[in-house]
Amino acid sequence: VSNRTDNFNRGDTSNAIGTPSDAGSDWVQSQGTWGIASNTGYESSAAGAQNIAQLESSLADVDTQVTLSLVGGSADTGLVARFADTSNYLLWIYTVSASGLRMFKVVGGSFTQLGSTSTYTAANGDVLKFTVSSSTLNGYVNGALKVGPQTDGAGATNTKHGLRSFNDAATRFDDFSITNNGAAGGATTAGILLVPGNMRGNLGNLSGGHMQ
Amino acid sequence: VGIRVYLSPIVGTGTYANPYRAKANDLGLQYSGELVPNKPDGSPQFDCTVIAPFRATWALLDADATFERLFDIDLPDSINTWSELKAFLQSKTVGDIPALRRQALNTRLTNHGFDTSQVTLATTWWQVLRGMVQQLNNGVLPSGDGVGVAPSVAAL
Repeated sequence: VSNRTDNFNRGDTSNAIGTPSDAGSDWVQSQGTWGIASNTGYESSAAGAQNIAQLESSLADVDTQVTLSLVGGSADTGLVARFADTSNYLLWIYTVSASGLRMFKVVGGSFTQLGSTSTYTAANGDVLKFTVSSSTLNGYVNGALKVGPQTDGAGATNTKHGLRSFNDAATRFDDFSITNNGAAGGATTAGILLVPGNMRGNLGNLSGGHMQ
Repeated sequence: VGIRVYLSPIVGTGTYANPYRAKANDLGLQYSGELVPNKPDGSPQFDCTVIAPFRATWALLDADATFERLFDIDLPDSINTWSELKAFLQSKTVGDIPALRRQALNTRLTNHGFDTSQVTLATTWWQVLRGMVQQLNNGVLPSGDGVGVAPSVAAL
């Protein structure tokens, strides 16, 4: 198993998101009920909280990406990476009620918010991308870095990645992919909280190597 | 512009609605990255993290006593760029800090759980800051960052 893709182009169903278009291993509904509607993926129950469907990739350092072909009015949705179980994973999500984008790690069932920005309102067709490389995490929308680089190695060897939805059956996912970013063992960056973003690279000097 | 270094408390209860996070996030800071290492149960390993905000947010931070200026008034407000900050921190040693504020710095760090046992009067402020970041990093990297630096207080 390596790179994974799914265009969700298959018959409608409310409870069998099924086999991806790459014909690899099936989606696993770790939480919630996931289906297909008009050649898009979605969480059909609109119940429960952290609803997750994930694919095995055998890759821990990846770019995961999905198109939000339809953004629900109460969307709280996005990508999950390095999924181990429903108590341990990473999130890169858009939340209408929180007015923005947020990155989380979930460890032992506890949520830690790694970064956020409120300067974004999702539109149909927006592309979310979550890159996880060694201990460096970046969240993008339409190719623009929105949050990151964050430093966190939680679940750094986990190889399952996928979709996440929260009480939202309206949002539709399309063109999901998991791509090896080939950065295993790459350098890490310091994740000191900073404002604004133009200091990000510089603060990387604080991490790694010996004190100077 | 102005750059300072603060310690931001970690707030939250670890739920999705109220996640652990740097309190600075709640002040409307628009772009942030932070180091929040966890214990195995998911709770924070430290009760604070380091932030480096520009002048525009200082008033907000100073109005909240839970935010602490790492180097107190010994770090001048005239520093405007990261290079200037780094150069200044590299040019100063712990011994340059007046005794009372040196003790206050020591107390500030140890109260938050930072190991300062290797700091001496000759330790630069840059090394103190890097030591803190490395301790935070060691909590969030799978096997640490390969550097076992720990600042100390014996000389603080």
